[in-house]
This record gives sequence, structure tokens and C-alpha cells, in this order.
Amino acid sequence: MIWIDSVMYDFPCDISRKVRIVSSDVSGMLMDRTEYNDALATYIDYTLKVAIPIDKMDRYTSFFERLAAPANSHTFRLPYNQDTIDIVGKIDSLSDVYFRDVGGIQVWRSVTVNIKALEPSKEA
Amino acid sequence: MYISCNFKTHRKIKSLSFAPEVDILGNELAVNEFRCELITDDKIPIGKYAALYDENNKPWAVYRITEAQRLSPYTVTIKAQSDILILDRKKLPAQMCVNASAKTLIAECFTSFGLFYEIDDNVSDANINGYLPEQSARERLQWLCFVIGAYVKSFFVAMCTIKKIDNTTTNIPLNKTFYRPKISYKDYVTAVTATAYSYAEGTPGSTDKWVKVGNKTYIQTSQTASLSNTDVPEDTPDNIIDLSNITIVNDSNISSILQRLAAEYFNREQLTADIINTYGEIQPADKVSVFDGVEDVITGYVKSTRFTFGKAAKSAIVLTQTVTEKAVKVVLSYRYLTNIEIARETFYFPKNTAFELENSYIDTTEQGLRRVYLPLTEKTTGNTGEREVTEKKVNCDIALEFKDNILDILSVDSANKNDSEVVIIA
Repeated sequence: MIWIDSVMYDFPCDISRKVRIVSSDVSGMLMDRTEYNDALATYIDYTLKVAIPIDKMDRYTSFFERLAAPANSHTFRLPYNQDTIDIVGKIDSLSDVYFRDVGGIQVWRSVTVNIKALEPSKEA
Repeated sequence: MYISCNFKTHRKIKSLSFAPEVDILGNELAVNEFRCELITDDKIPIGKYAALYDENNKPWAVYRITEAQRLSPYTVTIKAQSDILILDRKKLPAQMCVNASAKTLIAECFTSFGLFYEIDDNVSDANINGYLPEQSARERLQWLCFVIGAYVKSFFVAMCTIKKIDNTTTNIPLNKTFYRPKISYKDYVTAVTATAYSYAEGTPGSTDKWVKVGNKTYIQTSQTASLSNTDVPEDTPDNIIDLSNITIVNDSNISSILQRLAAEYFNREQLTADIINTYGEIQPADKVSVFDGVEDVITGYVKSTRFTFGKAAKSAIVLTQTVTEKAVKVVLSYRYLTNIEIARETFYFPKNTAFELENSYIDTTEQGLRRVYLPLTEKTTGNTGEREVTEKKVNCDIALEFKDNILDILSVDSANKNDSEVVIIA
């Protein structure tokens, strides 16, 4: 279950996350041969691989339209350790594959959403 | 970093450039500036001051906004420049100085525009003798600073401050210098010349040079002096730096001025280095020494510092008036009571030089049931020899880390991590 812009979508999905620790340009090798790192903040990017049940293809349409809109950002409530986290992110990519028509319903699958965090979850 | 402008604080800074400079022997005073791109829909008030502060609320630059460009409804670029720019907008009348107070003349440069300024206590109130032609306040201020060995500091201060050029050298350690400094070589200067002027009220003859101030006429006499560079290869074509236009150079200050010109132009090396400069510890006009990464220590005055900002800050510094000397390594080792090293810093100093290094440590005292830890600073002094490494050991009682309002004891003999007696961090 995921929440996007306070709207709940009850789709089964695999959720993977990737941590980005961003350093500033004030980083590099020093004269004593140590590496100086100026870490600024931690961002957590998420990838959702969503399985859409055939009976929820209508719901998927609203999911797709929401994420495909040219919005600057969305808020996502996603699993985080044993809790949830609210992150502000943008859609880096959204892809799916048309499977076939089943009884007048167009079936889409292999839905993948890459979310890039715009706000840090931790700051130095 | 944040920018305060028109009673508002802007923390959403998309980009920021700040590269203050001082040319202590230059022809004109630098107009320092900062440029930034802010995320805001506020109207930017041109002509008002914008202040650049760090997170400790220390001012880095308080400049007047001279340009703003709105890029989108929510983004705007700002250019803010120091008050030196204003000094260019009006001419000051000519005057003849006879034992005139330098401080008074400097003050006139600012007060004629209603600008705030400060003269540092260490600026001696030298007497100015000679002729000040009609000129902009910016040019006059540079002349005055030039002859009294001062400079205008328009960075890390709330208002323009006149300061004496300080000859104290700060050594930049290896762990604050990025790999690696670069040295460039300028063309040889074979000699520097300067002209000393004197003035006497009277009626000039047909061949006399003269100047007029109000109703009075002064006959001008001049004498040129020079210093030759003996450290040039044979057959080097003449390349003479001539300083003849500053009419407040006179018999009493010409020799020191020639020496300063020689220091600038006879030393051909110009060093550029990137250093960690988070709190603006190194500023233009400071005298610093940097290890070149091979075998020399190069000492000189910082001409400019171009900042790059992150959580920390980096500066690209340019040194002039450089002196190159063979280096001796000095390792400062920070230890606590059990003699375990907790940190070390490496410095390079010129051979046979007295050095003084400051290091912080934490003192601990018992006050009844309470144990008080007090950060202190200690100076380590010594003298570098002819060669080899000099190692100085400095004992720290304990090592503490104070972060996010939580005190953590990293290492200590007589307390443990959960010691509830730790009560004060001064």
C-alpha cells in the first residue's frame, strides 16, 4: 500500500530504495593524501515495481495519470525500516507494458516508477 | 549561508559566488561583490544592502544590491557590490597636505557620501604631505592606503574597514590544502622607480611645474629614485615599473614604497592553491605560507580568495609578493594522557624558523562531585632546524565530541561514556 499526494493506492508492489549521500564541491584530495569529503545530505530514492490486478485497471489509470502529470513534485508515503517515511520526490521515470485486452479491459503490467527524492531525509 | 535583505532572510540559495580580493599595491581599490540566485518571489530592492551571513551569523559581505534579474516567478539573480563602487561617483576637490592626518583624509572619502566606515586601531595616524589632485574618493582612498601601508577590507565586516597590512604569517597545514598548489612565473622586472614630490608656495617661473589649490599656487619639485633587481639573467630587456603619478609620495616615504614595490615585482612567482576555508579564516591581504608539495614553502600575501560553498567552504587563493624557502616538516601530534595519538597535523615551515602553533585541548578539574571539562588553547613553540622532521607532542587530557547537543566522550582515562558527572562545556 502506498500513498501519493495523500491518495492511497492499494497495489501490491516491490519497493526498493537507494541511498544517495551528496557531497559538495568542497571535496577532494588534500596535500597529506587524505580524501576530504564534505557531505551535505542524504537522499533516499525509491523504485516501485507495481503489480496491477486486472480488476483494478481503472484505479491504475488514475495512478498513471497522477504520476504522468508534469508536476514539480509529489509527496510519497513509503515504507522506511519498521515505519513509514514521507518524502518529496519527482518522477524520474514511469514505464509500463501493454499486455493484452481481457474481456474489454486493457491490461498493463511491468509498471515501474523511479522516484528521485528532492528533499533530504538527513542533513549534515 | 544565508542572505538577509530588506528585513527578510533567504536560505534557499541556488547558487552563490563570492571572490573578495585586495591588491595592496594596485592602482585602484577592488569593488568586491557577491552574486547569487535565490528561490523567492520577493521584490528585490535595488540600492538597498544585502548581507551574506554564515550559520554563526558572522557577516561575510554587506553590499549594496546593484543588479537583479528575475528568471522565473520564483527565482531571481542578485548582484551586490561593496561601497567602494559608490566612492567612484563623486570627485573630491584638490588639496595640499602639510602634515595632514591620514585618518582625517580617509574619513573624508566616506563622509562625503554619508557612508559608514571604520578605521582599525592599528592604523597609525601617519602624516600626509603632498598634493592630492581633484580625484574620485575611490582613487584618493587607494593613494592614502598605499602610502601608509594599509588596505580597505570590505569582506567579513559589516562596513568598509581600513586595516594595516599585517606581516604575521599564518601557516596553512597540509590537511587544509588541496592537492596541489600551482606556481606560475611572471616576466622579470628589472627595476622599480618612484618619484618623490615636494611643494612650496610661491610664484612659479616659466620652467617650473606648479599646481593650484584654491587661490594658492605651489611650485612642484620632484626627484626620482629607483631600485634595480640584481636577480635577473644577463641580457634581460629592461622592464621597469614606474610609479610617478602619486603626488603624496615624498622624501620620507619613498624608500619604504620602493621596497614594497620591489617585494611585489621582483618576486615573480605567483602561487594559487585551494584550501579549506570554512570560517573565512584566510582572507585577502593576509600573509600566509603554503607548502608547494615538493620541497619549498612559499610565503606571500593573499590577493584573492574565490569561495566554493558546501557545508564547508573552499577558497582558491592567489598569493603575491611571494618568497620561496626550503621546507622543514613539522608534525603536531595530539595525544591524551595514555599517550595514544588521537590526531595529527603536518606543517611545513622554512628552515631555521621559529614557529608557534596553536592547538586546542580540554582541561579537566574536580569541583566536589562535579567534574568540569574546559576547552583550552595551548601554543606549541619551537624552531625548525636545517633538515629532517621535527615532531612536537601535545598532550590532551581527554577527547570529547559535542555534536547535536549531545556530549560524547571519545576517550578518557577516568570517566566513561555514560559518566553523569560531565556537567559543563564552557
